[in-house]
Amino acid sequence: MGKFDFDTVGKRLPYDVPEGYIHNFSVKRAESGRGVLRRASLFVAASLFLVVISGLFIVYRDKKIPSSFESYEIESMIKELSDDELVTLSMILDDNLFND
Amino acid sequence: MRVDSSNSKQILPMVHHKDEDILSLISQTETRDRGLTLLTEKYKERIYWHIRRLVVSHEDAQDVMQETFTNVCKYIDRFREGSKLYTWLYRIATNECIRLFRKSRKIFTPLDSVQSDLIDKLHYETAYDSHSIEVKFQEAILRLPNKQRLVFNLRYYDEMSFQEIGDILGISENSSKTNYHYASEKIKSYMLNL
Repeated sequence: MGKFDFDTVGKRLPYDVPEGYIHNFSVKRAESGRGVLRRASLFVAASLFLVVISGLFIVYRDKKIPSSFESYEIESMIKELSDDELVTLSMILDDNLFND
Repeated sequence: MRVDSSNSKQILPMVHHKDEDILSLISQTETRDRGLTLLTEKYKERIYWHIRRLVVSHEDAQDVMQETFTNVCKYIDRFREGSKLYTWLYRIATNECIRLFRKSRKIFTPLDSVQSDLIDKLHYETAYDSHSIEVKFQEAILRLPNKQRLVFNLRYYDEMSFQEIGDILGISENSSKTNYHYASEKIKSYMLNL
């Protein structure tokens, strides 16, 4: 087997960047009111979802549940969530850098 | 008009301010904004390319850059002196990239499933011939699992020590070395089998 020499590529990247982008980059310090509102509403929606799931768990933990019940209920709840709510929920569940 | 990223370091002026001086400015209310501006000026180019190599598209890199430096300004008071400022910045940028991957993947699918999307973006974004060695090399890197890709980029492009890489990714120095070794071997193998 031959040898690949990393120096044949070096650090060259096949990417362009719009002229002046990096030079003119600055931080938009304050988040817009709309952004804050959106984050707050997503947080509330995700929290409500977790409360409902926890409630179901507490109510049914000692009861014999028909095998089809749990998956049916959760699936129907997940179907009612918007994409944004699902994304937020997955972010809340994913708290470790590499944990899937 | 667009410029070639490989030449950008020669085009843009380098800003030299000691981290200690920047942090000292930030710690005082009246010079805080000046300190944050100097910090952004000093590190924005390095952080941009770190992000760009991970997320591939400029559009995504723009969003992640803004989130990263917004978080830096917001949480700079939590930075512990004694740590290296740039490793802290890289950690925030890396976390923001991973957050983007989590948003863009299909729910309940593994994080590494973003690879094929990134490779598609590479071919869509690049102005290079898709068979050029630069594109193939990036493709080889994008095929790596996320952790190996991060370790490889930080070592190969940013020339960080394995200890610094470990600090950024929250893994041990030995784990960084092992991941770099496996990543290099996979890239070599991919490039030789083209």
